[in-house]
Amino acid sequence: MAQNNEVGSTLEFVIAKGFTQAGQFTALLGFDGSRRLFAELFADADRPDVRPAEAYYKLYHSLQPGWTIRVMQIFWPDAEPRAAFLQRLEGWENHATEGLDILYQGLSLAVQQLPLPFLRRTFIEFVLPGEEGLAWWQGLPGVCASYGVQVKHLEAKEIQELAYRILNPGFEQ
Amino acid sequence: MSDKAQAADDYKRSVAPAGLELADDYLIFPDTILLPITARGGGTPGMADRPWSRIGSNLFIADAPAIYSLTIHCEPPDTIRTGLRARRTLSEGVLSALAIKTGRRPSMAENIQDTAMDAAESQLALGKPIFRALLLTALFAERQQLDAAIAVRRTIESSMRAAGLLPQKLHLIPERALLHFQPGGNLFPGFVDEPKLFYDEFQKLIPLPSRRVMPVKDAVWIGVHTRDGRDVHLSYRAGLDPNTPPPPHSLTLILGEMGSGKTTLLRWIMLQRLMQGRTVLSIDPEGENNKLCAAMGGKVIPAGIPPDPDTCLLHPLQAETSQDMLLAARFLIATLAGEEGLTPGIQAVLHEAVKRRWDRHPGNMSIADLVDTLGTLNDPNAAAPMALLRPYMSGGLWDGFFDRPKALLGTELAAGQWMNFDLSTLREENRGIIHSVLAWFLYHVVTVGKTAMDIYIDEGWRLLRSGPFADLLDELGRRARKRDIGVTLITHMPQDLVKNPTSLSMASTAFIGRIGPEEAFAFFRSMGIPEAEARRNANQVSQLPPRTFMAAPSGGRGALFPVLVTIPPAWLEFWERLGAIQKRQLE
Repeated sequence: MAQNNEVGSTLEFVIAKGFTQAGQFTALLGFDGSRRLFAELFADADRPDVRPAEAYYKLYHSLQPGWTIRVMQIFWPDAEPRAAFLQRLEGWENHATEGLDILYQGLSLAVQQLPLPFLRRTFIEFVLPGEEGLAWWQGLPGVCASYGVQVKHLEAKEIQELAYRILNPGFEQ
Repeated sequence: MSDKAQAADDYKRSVAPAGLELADDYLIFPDTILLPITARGGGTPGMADRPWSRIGSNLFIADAPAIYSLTIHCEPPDTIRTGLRARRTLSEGVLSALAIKTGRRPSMAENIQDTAMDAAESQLALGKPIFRALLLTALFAERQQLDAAIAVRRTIESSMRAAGLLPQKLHLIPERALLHFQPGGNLFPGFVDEPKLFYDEFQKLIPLPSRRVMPVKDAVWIGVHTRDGRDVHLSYRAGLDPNTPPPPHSLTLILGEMGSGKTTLLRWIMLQRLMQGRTVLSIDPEGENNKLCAAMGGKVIPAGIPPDPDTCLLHPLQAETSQDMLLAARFLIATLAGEEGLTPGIQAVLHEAVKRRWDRHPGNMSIADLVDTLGTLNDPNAAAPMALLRPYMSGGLWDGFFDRPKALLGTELAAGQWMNFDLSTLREENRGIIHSVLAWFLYHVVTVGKTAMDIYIDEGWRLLRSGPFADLLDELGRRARKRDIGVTLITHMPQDLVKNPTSLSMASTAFIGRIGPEEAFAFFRSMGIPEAEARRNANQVSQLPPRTFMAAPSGGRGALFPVLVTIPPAWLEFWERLGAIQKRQLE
């Protein structure tokens, strides 16, 4: 169990140093002053025409010696599909009979109360090595798109959200 | 404070943990706990069967919520090559000295390592990239789930040991996980193993991306994608994923052995569609849905002649054109006598009779009308259809099926109505005619009716063994989508589908519960899936727990994904109260 009950500040656990600009991208200043760029990857890996393994192969084989990249996957509660379904459910009108109404209310309750679905969101953190790295980073979406993988570069707010999620892991949206 | 320092401080304050307590090998947050885990492993880059190449990202992220991080640093090949060469030279020197001084010959392991270093050096010389990797992951769970999370971590640890890796839990330093995980963190902090790996040694460790799938307008909720964690919805129009091309048919199969939850899944889909306002027709060989149907305000139609002397089951000879009427007459004779009974001579007299009747009285006709008109033809071929139809005409012994003033089953059905055909009381002598009536009715509502509806067929294997039904389902599969009709069929005998290589096997969507591997293999092969993929799918399917189905878009082509069916507790309680389920089958 817990080693001690000391009360301190949790700020010391945050070692990144805020945002800066790297070309057209927002970068986070790492603990060592390096500039870190972030992107999120999306793909429907269940589809046969989507080939993330090939996209990764291309990505890693295009790294230059000395470059560092990190792939992270994070459990992320995702309320939007559930909310969209609830909205559709509210438009279902055929529950006038008692039996159907019991089921309708039960379904409505379940949609609102059952644990939220989640996404395994996949992020890339790239330690920017210099201008050459910037060009590579810019071309990454094009490289991955040919394999059905979408790349979205993250803005400051999204990076902050990612950091918050990692430093405050939880099941709430 | 400078602007830069202020910005850094703002950032820290905006993302810092709300609260944190350190335990021996995990972190405690206000609502959750975080259990770090990593591994240490040996081996030389490129060595056959290296421990790192034996594990994949799924080991860490499949069974519990997690933060998973794989950092890769592309190493300068010359540096690594030089290091390897030095290591090899040293190793060979030691082995050689040992051999000279003591006569000891190198062991097999030493020889393998030497060969691997040699091979790695050659590959590096040829320009193959090599990487320094760092794998750190952490499970997280609600605080009260600590024991369960520890159990999951133990399972992961044992899998890592089995692969030849030494698991590590950051004992007494769990907070360092946060310093690594956070954006801008220390990517190579020095307290975790940093193996040198070729791409093919760590490629299985790279997690596959996923994405959000939103429900479309007519979607029903099925459950949770057990691998990705997202909600799974089914739309008869858009299939399982609205971002892909729409399915070719609106035919859905539910397969699985007894107890896999097929009937419950069918009800789950069917009742949601009913609430959407769809008309629902269900064929219920066991009468399992009678109570449920009655409780939903639906109509249960028993398999027999209605007790009301003015009401028959169906008026089969309904059509808007003479051509359709001829088709209806031919279909009726074919279902009563079989395809072989529809000889060219009989077809000719039917044509003549329908034409004659339509010229005088265009529109619907009764069986008696058709028999009368056939009787006016001076053709010996008319005798056979007349003999077939006579028992069913008004006043005949079986007039309750087709020839009374009112009919239970019409083609114009009210929206939001549920009709459940209870076949549990079906008598053997009536089997043929009831199947024919149903086949005819379904054909008619699909081809002539204007009401958008869904058809649900439970225990489909019984019907698939009946000639008219097997043919009908093929026809439904092709026509239903154009008519905005969803057809769902469940069976625990996929071999019956295999025997009917029709559009059933081309079903848009299939939910496959647990079935034997050989049965599953035969089923997937019947869909034209390559042998290796079919074998892999069959193995997956044969190990499924109850409530879990493999969802197969486009009739099983492409990757299947597991769905845990989520039935609201209130529904299960309601069904149990009604006696529609014997016990909490799906809890």
